Amino acid sequence: MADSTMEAPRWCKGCGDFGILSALKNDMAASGIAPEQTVHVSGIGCSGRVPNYINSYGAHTLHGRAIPFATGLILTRPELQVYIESGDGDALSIGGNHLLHGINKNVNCVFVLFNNELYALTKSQTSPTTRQGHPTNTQPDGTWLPPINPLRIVLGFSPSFVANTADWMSDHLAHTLAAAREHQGFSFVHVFQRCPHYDPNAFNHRDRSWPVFLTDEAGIPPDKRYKDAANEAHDPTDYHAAMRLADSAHTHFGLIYKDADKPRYDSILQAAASGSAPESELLAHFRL
Amino acid sequence: MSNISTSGLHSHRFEILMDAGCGAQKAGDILIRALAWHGCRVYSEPVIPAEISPPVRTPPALSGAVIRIASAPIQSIGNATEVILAQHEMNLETRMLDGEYAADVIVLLDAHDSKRHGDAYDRVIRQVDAAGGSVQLFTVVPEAEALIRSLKGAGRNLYYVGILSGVYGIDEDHVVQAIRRVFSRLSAEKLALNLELFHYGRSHAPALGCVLPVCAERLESPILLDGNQAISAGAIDAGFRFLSGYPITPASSILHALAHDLPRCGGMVHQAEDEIAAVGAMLGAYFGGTPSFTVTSGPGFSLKQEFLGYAQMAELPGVVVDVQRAGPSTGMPTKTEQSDLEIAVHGRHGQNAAIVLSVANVSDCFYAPHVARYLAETLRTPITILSDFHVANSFGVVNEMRSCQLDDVADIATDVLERFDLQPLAVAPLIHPNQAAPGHSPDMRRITGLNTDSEGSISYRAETAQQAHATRVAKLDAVRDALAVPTIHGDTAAGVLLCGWGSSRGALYEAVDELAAAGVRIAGMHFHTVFPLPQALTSVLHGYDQVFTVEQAYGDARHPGPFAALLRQETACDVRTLVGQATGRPLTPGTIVDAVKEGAHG
Ligand SMILES: Cc1ncc(C[n+]2csc(CCOP(=O)(O)OP(=O)(O)O)c2C)c(N)n1
Ligand code: SF4
Ligand SMILES: [Mg+2]
Repeated sequence: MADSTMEAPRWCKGCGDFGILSALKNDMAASGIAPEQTVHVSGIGCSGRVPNYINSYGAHTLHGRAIPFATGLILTRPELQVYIESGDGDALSIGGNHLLHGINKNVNCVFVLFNNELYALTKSQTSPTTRQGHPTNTQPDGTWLPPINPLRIVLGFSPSFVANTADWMSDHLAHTLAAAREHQGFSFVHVFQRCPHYDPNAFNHRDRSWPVFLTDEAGIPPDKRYKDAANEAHDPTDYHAAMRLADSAHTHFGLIYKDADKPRYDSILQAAASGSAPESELLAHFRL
Repeated sequence: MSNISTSGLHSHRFEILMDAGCGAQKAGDILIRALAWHGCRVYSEPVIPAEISPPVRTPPALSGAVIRIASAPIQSIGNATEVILAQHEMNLETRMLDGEYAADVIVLLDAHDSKRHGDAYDRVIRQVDAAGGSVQLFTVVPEAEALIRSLKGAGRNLYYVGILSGVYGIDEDHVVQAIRRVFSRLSAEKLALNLELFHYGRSHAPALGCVLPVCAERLESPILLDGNQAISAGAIDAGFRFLSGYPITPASSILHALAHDLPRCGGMVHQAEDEIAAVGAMLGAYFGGTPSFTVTSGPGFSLKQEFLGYAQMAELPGVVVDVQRAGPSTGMPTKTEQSDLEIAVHGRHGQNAAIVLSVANVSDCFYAPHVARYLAETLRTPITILSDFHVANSFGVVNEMRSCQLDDVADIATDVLERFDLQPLAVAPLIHPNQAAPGHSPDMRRITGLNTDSEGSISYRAETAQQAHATRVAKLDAVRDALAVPTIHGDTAAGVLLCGWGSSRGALYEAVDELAAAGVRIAGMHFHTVFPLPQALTSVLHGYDQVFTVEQAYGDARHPGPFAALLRQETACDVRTLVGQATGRPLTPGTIVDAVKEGAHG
């Protein structure tokens, strides 16, 4: 099925979701994996619409529940390439429990967090990542609490892959998705995503000197277009250094943490499921 | 001690009561096996404490087995206990509060604790006497008591097995065989000590009198299992290779059994982080083409509803086993009820009634997964199987079920469908023709919970929304049209009909038989498929002067129970609830008989 027969995205003009959508499509093409071997699973939100706009198998599930659905699929169909798309409300509020266990179970998939720092599809309410003081429709005098820090939460659950990137850094986003796909395990990709409709001033995306890119041979290369941006050497296998980055006042882009040896729940269950005991003897041990 | 006789059925019920952790369940297991080998038909219900190991000699510590033996097949635990063997007076007093003993009950009471709790013993013995029963105190012989002490209190249950097997005259070889079977993991040394205690108890028995065992013809290939074990084995035989769940009483034992057995058959058990995740993973696995199911009980079933509505919308197959327990909220986790009928049928938002099957006994439990998978995959919709605490935990001795090794659901045997009053479905309507699993077709399937047109594209148009609803309803009709009205049990020309579903069947049928024997003209109808109901049911029900339900859910003269409400809704017949029992205890034939007799007078 050609892309021309796909549904046209229904996002607002200038929405960061467009950039992430095209990066995902490019990554699929770059992977060489057949589209019918690829599944995009999403929750509900503006971000959750992605599977409807990509030429692959797709499941647009429930608000917050993409990870459980994907887990069942990955456990039983390990040969498929699975991407999960989830918003900040989806992943960190209603689906928070699933995110923690997804990270811990470390099943093989690329998890993309679309962090626009608010609930967009439901018309601007405070999300777990909304900045303190930012007015929303549920907290019109300004969001009361400071935002939670997704990196700290994720790192607290001993992840196997954590990277930061942004919808407007197409080159960096592409490299990040490729690294996440190549990593075998639950790859957590935190994408800063612009929502011009509800928060036109969010993120300093026009200032090319603002980002700090992490550099390492085993990491993700800095975005070529950001020549003025600072680079910082960082060993992605150093857990404590990763924690310091999470706590830093600056936003770092690149591979924050990677642990290639973390046990994978999917491969363990698949290895155990290798038996082929004769089904006809099922009731034998109930014989008197 | 005599055997009660109801319309030619000879049956007898006894129970063994001990403190949790003392091995009453094991004793019950041994006795059931030995009785079955001996040739009795056996039905047994455990008395399970809700907590793990409550302090001894307290009411919550009560643990035991209620065993009913009969001369013909039975599917209910019967009415009243005729013989009780109790470890001490506290066990006895606690259990007697349930009021399920015969007026002339005989109690064999271990005197061990009477030295320290003499007053309490006297009080409870007086209670039994006053009720018309009798208590025989017995003292474990000193040699055996010394052995039990050396085993740090263990082994008393084997002494009791000795006593009861002697009282019932069960062939000693059968009991020894059963002990070896149940204690197959015990060291030779420990096993020998247990056998010694059994023999001491057995020698003690003649001093306590005897009961004639109730015998029937031995089954050809008897097997002994409970409802959850039968569902587990049935699920594998039905082709399920993925089970996801979150621990909850009384469904957990299915997870336990399959955590062991499914990997051996190339499948897996996924313990999810909660019930929402469990049903989500089940649907994800089914989306990938793997026959999958999830198991739960009330609180977890509530959590799963959003995903079950999604599955209907997205046309995903799925199977949920809800092992019902008592009451709203946490309720009574180790008590039985049939009170999830309404949520199973109508529990989701946006109008999507669901297909619901139920089970009455272990054989049903084995075949329900086959039928559920057949319906789920044929109609691309989730199916609920309602079991309950009583069926899940009751042991039955039945002839070994025929293995089907179901691969393609189209090959399901018609006699398996007929068990649920079904015939093969006529061509089923679908909203989306493309149902391919990933990897299998270039025609990529994309599912969503949003309303879609027949191409699977998101559509908010008026006619596609109306059409999608019509198609979902047409799936229910496909089942409705394939359903036969359940066979009448009892007097086919009677003017009064009693209706029941699920685990109430044994009690319902026995009650009808007993009433018939007493000259009361009455018919019984039991439903395996509870929603939808057969098309012809309306005219059948309207042919009766009076239609009642007997259910293990709350109902009274003014408030129809859930099943009566459903029958009213579906047939517009004035169905009332005769027995709407939400006590946590299973229905008994006697309760139904009494209610009918009272109704006739009142
Ligand atoms: C159970 C449930 N609760 C609430 C909603 C309504 N809802 C839809 S999207 C959404 C929030 C979306 O925010 P986010 O996850 O950040 O995604 P975004 O739209 O910002 O991409 C909510 C609350 C729902 N669909 N389901
Ligand atoms: S509301 Fe915001 S996130 Fe949603 S489509 Fe519009 S710009 Fe994008
Ligand atoms: Mg958001």
